[in-house]
Amino acid sequence: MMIGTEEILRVLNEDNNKGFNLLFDRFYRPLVVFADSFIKDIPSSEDIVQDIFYSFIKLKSYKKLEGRTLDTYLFRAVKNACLNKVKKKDSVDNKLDLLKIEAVEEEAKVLNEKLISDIKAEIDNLPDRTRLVVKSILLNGKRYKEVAQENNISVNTVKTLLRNGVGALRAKFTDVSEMFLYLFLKKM
Amino acid sequence: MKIPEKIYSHIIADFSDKLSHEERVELTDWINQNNDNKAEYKSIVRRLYSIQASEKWTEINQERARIRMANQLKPKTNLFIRISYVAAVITLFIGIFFIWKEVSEVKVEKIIISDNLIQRGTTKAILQLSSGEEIRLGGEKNRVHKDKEGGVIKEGSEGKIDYRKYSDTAHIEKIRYNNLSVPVGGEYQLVLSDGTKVWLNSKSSLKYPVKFIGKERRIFLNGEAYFEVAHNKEKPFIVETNDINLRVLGTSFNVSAYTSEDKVVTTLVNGSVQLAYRDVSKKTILKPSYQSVYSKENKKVEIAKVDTYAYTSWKEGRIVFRDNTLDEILLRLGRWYDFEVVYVDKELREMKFFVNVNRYKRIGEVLEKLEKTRGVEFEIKGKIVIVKASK
Repeated sequence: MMIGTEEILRVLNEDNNKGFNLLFDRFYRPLVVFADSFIKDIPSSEDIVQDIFYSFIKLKSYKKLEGRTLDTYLFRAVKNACLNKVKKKDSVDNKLDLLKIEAVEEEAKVLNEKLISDIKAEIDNLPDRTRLVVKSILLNGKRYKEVAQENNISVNTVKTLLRNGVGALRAKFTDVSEMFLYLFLKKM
Repeated sequence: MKIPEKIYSHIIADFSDKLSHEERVELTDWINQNNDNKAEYKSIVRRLYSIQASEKWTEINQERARIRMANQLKPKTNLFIRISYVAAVITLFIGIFFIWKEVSEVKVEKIIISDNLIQRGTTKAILQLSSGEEIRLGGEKNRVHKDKEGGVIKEGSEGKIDYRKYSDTAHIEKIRYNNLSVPVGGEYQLVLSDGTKVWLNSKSSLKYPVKFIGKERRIFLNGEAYFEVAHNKEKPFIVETNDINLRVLGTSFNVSAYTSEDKVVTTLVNGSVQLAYRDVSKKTILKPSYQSVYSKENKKVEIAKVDTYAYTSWKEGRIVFRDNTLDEILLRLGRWYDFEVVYVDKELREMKFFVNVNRYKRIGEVLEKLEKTRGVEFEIKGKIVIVKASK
């Protein structure tokens, strides 16, 4: 069970050290993988998150959240630091990118050790070819054509396997709204 | 709800930023049609992201980061706490401002294209048991090796072995040694049977008993290691290297004793250490924050107060140099990244630099940082770094 942000704030105000460890356990890796979605380099993402944690503790920012929740505050701080660092030419103000960042942030906020190992187990449990396609396209960035040629299958087969694989990887519902959406869609 | 195949493909391509402008418009139009489309889009992106995140998650060394942060956040026991606290915060802000400013101006192409052969170091080592049997470490985490004497060695998830968990420790009657060798470009961690923690840097080896028996705890080091010695008044801890011996009671210190180098450097963080030297008869006792530099050629010892962080930060995954010559910097980087150095302009060897970077970064990025501060230029050819004066 994940520790609540209220609890973390309470401990931070009482005992800096203990509070930091709770904060770190709950948020370090989620923030790093979130930063990585912009920076695409884990060591640099770790640096960014560590800098933010450092300021957060040293400046006692947890006392000045001003109504924002702890996770909103931290994720926003990391997002801003990353956007500043990346400064893409096709600026990230268009609706599609903003929506994508929103979705990525929502997912990063619920990640934890257990969920991650569940996802990895689910991937390992996929049928061999499906798993191969999922990994090649999503993790190795290959194109449909490449994967099709390397495995002697048609591009259509690749697309189908990918869709099956991604569709199968939702054993756990990460938040209530997604569950309702699923039930709602099922009825349609 | 059935999403059109086309749209589904767009979403996947867009996730890896491979979508064309027209395709983006198509996707955006579809999303804007109604709220269900928007929600479905987000749901798919979340799943794609979680698959990617599950891979990246395991690349993160959480415990190393925690230790580093704990050290950074520790209050300094010093008369000048207030001043250094404020100074540190200001420096941090200025530091972040400069980093952001610099990144927007950096021209990355030159070094990055050619640095494929030089890879940063990783967790790896070779363990030799008393029977002579050799085991390769660092490939997979949580591996279990059984040695010929029936003992069980388990590699922890952070790239270390804990001898307190060595299974048949209780049955050992006489001293048995293991030897851990870390190659160029490697690093490894150990916890000895008394609880002493050891971090081994690149190109180093440590010979140590599987279980400490007798009146003292004696180990043999070649290369560089950072120790956190478990306290035991009855059994002094002795580190033997080729040219100096250290006698310790309970303490944290770094030793750099490469046989290929002239200087043996011992840096004490806390506790107390007594040093004995091969060619200097007087023994020295080091106090915290002091460092002993023994020159084998000159047969001389120099003791000075130092900022210990520069010498111990490697174990926390940082490369820190404070006013060191380029010669020394590239020598140490070369050990971690596994490259050789060639100087076109020899005076550059004596140039001094301040560096503080994450040592898991690519060598191109580290060299860029050096290039930016002064008049030096680097070129990488295969596994050789060439140093030239910049125009």
